[in-house]
Amino acid sequence: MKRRHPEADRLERDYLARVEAVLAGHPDAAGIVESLREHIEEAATELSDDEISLVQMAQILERLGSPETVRPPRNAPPTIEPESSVDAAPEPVVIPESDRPAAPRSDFDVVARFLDRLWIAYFIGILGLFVPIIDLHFCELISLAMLALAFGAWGRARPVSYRGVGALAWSCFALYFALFPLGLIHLATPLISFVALPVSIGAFALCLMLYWKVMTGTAELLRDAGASFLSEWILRIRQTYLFINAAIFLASILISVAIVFAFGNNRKDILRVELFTLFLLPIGWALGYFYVLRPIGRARDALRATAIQAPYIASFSVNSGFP
Amino acid sequence: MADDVWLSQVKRGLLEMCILNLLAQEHRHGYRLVKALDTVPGLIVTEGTIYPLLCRLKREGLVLTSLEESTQGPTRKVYSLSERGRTKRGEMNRAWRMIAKAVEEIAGAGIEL
Repeated sequence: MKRRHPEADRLERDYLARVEAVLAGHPDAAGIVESLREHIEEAATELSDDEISLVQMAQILERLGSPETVRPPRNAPPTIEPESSVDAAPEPVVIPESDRPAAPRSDFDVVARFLDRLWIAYFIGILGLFVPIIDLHFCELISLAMLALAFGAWGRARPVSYRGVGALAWSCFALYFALFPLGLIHLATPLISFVALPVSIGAFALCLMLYWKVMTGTAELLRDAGASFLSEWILRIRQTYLFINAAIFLASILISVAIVFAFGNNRKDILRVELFTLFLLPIGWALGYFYVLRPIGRARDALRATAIQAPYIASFSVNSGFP
Repeated sequence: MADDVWLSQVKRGLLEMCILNLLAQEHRHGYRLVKALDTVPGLIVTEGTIYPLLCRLKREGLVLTSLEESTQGPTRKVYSLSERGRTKRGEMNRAWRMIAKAVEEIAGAGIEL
């Protein structure tokens, strides 16, 4: 973020606060304010000076226009009053309690429930990362199926990063499923490792891609809802998690290979390698909590708690085709 | 005054068409889109009016957004055209060509508009 003179900073904050006030109650308020903030940042970045002066900020804001001009035109269809509404007013019909339709589920509930489903799916996946010796990724399979089903029900896609996530989750599912028979054969013929290892790497890489898309999409949801700080945080930790995982995976392969080279390739050593991987489980849990469950939980809480999200959620649900 | 209203309505309609056409060319973030629209004289009066329009287009499913990583600062929202937006753009362009041609013919025939 480009440095601003304190007066320029104050001017920007005042401007955005005025825009917020003008747009109060508008369904796109959060998105518009966020876009204007981004626009100001872009315009500031283009300037060669190290610090944005008050005059420069005033020029940027002048080009944007006064907060009143930012207000979208009200083009809602006019309300049609029934002719002679007083005379022809029908008798009020009282619907018995039992016949009344159930109150529609609020849009807020829809999004919160979706993020809850993501959280639970990932929780199951992280809890039982794998069963050693036979490579049965039982919890992972349940988790991936839950994710695929949740995203499959998403309808036409919004945000963009959520597109194709369902198919990706099913692909991961297929690869992890394939690892199970390979793991069983592995007990009898260690040479099958030459097949199992690429499948394992493929499944792991797809899982990381899946994580990347899920987190990016969640960050997009937060950005549109005006929670840009949280959105940036999720994008940052997403990168960290990717690097850590890649490093651990590489290290585990190298250590496994080293053990096999040092002690020979026999069944006893396979057990040794698998026992070694057991030590990685607590690390996996910790990473899963800090880099997966915590951000999804925070995103869900932010969307649930922040008042400015409500109008966004309303438009989100209507347009996404989300069930 | 009536002229101003007419002009602003024409501009508003054209602005929507121009945005869809620009996004059909390439994905752009808001600032770049505004700068591209700025090159058409008189199309936008103030840059801030674009964003409510973009939000509405997004709400209507004509435009999609995604986040783009930036080396210079925070991530930016990038706008792109959805399938529905592409269809709408085609319809708008066809209608525009037809109307422009008809109006041109009337004007060319010396009929006072």
